[in-house]
Amino acid sequence: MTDKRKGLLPALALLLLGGCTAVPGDAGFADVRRTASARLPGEQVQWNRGTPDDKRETDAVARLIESPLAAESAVQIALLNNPRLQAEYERLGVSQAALVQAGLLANPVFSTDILVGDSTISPAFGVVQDFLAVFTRSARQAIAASDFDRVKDDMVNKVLDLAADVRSAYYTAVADEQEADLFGQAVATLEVAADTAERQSMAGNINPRDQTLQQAQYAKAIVERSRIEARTTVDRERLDRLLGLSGDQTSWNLPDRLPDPPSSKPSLDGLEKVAIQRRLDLAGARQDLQTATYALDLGRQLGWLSVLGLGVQVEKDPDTHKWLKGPVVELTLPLFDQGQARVATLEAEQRESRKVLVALATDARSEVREAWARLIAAQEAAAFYKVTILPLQQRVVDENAKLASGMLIGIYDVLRGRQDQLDAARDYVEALKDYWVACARLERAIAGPLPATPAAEPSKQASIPSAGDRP
Amino acid sequence: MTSRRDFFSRGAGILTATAGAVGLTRSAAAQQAPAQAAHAAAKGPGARRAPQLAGGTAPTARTVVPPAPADGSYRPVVTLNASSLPYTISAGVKEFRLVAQPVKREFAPGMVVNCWGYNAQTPGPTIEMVQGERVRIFVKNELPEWTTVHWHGMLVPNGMDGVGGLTQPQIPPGKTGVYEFAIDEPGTYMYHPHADEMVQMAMGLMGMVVVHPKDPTERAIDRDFAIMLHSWDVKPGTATPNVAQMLDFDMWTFNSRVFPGIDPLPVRLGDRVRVRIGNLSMTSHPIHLHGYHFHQTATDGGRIPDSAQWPMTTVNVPVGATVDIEFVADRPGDWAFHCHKSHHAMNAMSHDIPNMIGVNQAGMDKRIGGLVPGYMAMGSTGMAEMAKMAMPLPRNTLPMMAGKGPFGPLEMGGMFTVVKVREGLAPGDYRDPGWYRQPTGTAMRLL
Repeated sequence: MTDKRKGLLPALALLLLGGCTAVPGDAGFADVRRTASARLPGEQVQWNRGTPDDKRETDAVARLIESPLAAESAVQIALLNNPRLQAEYERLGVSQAALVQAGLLANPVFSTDILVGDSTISPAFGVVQDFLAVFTRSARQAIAASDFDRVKDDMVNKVLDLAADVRSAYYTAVADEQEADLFGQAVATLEVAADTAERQSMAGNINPRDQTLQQAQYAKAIVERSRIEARTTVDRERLDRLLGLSGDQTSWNLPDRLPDPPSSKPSLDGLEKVAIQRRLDLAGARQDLQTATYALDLGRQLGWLSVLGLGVQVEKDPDTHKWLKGPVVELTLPLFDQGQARVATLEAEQRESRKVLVALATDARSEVREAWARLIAAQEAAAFYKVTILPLQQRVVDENAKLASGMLIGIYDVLRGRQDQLDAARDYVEALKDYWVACARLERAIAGPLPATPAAEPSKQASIPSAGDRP
Repeated sequence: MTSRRDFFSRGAGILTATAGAVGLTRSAAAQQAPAQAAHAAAKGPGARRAPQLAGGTAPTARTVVPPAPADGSYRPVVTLNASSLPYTISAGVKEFRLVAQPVKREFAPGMVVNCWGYNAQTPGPTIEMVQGERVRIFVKNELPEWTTVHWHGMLVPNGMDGVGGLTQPQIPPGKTGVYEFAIDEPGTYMYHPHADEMVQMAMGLMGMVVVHPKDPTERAIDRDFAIMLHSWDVKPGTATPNVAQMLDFDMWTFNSRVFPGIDPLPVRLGDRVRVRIGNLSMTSHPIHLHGYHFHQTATDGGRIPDSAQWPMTTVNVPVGATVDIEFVADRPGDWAFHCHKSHHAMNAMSHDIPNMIGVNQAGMDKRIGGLVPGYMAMGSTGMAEMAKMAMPLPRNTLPMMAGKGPFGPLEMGGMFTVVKVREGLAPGDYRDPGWYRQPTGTAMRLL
């Protein structure tokens, strides 16, 4: 017996030492950065942890907001500076600590009782170590590691979400300013019309009703202009929040206009497969399934067993005053709960994980098709505006000028033609915005850049978007 | 600014004209310069792409002086920017051949109109006959719909009166109808369809008939001109008359031409001059001649007795009637001859533009120019600015006022031309003698 006890104590000591693992500082961020950088080529992903390194990121943000923001720099600023994302990163620490936790054994439990008689005192001491944890340690570590991977997937997913949100907000903000500028020109034409009517009125050449109509149109446009300007501010603020900017940092500028879409159109072929391979929500769901499988395996192994304690106990015999020693075993007896409910729960959870994965994959494929269709529609619409509608409007303006030269129409018709042209230009900007937002959505749906298209064929005239053209 | 090509085509006209026929080689070329410039500027890509819509091209409408008849039975009339219909004699009957067909008519350089006419022109060629002689007129229908010819004002047998459905069946497309009669009363008459009349006349189917007196010395005249008045609705930028128009016409023509596309009336000092004017438009035209008091000597109802004539400066030509005026050209000069309804001496214009007369537009040009490049504020001080500059106009559109005279812009259009009375013109010479040189001390001075 004694020998046995002698063997047990060093084993315990070993276990205890083995459990004293430190929590690594990196918290798996290197993995997150690697994946995220692959999905957002050219962008730096940083986790600010209150170190002097943070200064570098602050400087980088300051540099980026100096010149008119490009979409990539907006994304970069958000990745460096979005406070919510930085808060999210802390979950990595939580998860990694959980992994460490899973490797630690429960501390041994010391117990004592002292029985006091009329003239006797009978103290007893015991130490019990939970040995179930020792046997299940690697299984629990595997589960925690799987959970940790899942959190890393989540992190990359958040990064991609943020990047997509920034791009949408960015293109919306550029479009806002462009449209506000175009509407400002429309207001200027109405102002000229109202002024002309006033001058006509002073000369006795227009009746009060017609003059008032011109004034009323102008006044209406002024209100509309304030609405448009307010919308511009709202959308700028949205970008401010995503970029984590405040105070002086909010005075950034945007380029004057949205870029033209490329002439070639992306192919839908293979995009769904790319999405299934790349998407981090799917990776996370796969990881969930893995975790559930590990948990189920462990649950099955344990069966009814929920407590397994081994230990030693010493007790002073009140009669002999000698110390009595002996082992302690604590064990659950499967009288009522044989663990079947627990296993059933784990089985159900595993099935749930599998079905969630299928559901997510189905949704992901659909999202890719939808985002692609939106992109193509917006690209065709933008091209149609550029190739057909805007030139037509320009011709109307040119013909109006000719008619006015022949005194065949008057100033009001000329200005109205210009307003129509400006309306069409604003519609064009909307189409461009739709394209770029759709582009951000599609890249979000496939969790990364579009696969490089084979050498783009020479750009040809945009086809007329019609229902029949839709594949 | 007559182009070389233009010059050669005129020259070819002279060469091919038969004995006595003379083309007006020097027609109002100088006057037409600004309109031609505008024409060139208005030739946008659209004009090339849709020639049908733009009116396309038409031969320049030359005045062709008809050959005098070999027997000297009459002195032919000169139909401005048009011609007379040739004839043949068949067994003692004078035979004319009219072809009703779609034609392209140049109203003035820069504007070609998709019309219907006779023998490639509108108005159709003037039909000249002699009092009492038998004539036979073949009317071939090359129109897309049926037609007839009514001999307006002429006392023909009822069966020759040309009223579709009433006095004859209409002549179907592709068929030829024959009219035959002899006219007893000399005078100025007209011919036009009486089948789908509103459309066919709005498209330009009409012409004049002159019946000369049997005795060539009766009412002898040195220069005898024929002018058909008409109105059209050819909206700016279009080329086809709107046949449904009743009131809002915008082109007012002498022989389907507008100033500055109308040839002048060259007259030798001392000539006795007759101008025969027919009106198949939808409103009356007070035709005014500067520099003369004239007499109205006839209607299409016949000669007005001398005792019933009175001196006048303006003769109102009613709708559906002809008027002859006569005067002795004893006052040299360039004398305006035009409809006195001032809108009728204008080309295409809008009647619905904002009134800018007297409106202070200072600074507006700059503000509007920033918004609509190319726009020019006009009208504050009137519309004369328009005539001074050739700005781009819609295709196939003439400036509202155009023409250039020896002293500056002529600022006219529509029913306007010039009677040019000169010493020493040869008989039968209808070439434009150029601008009149006013004797020193007889012209307005600026103080």
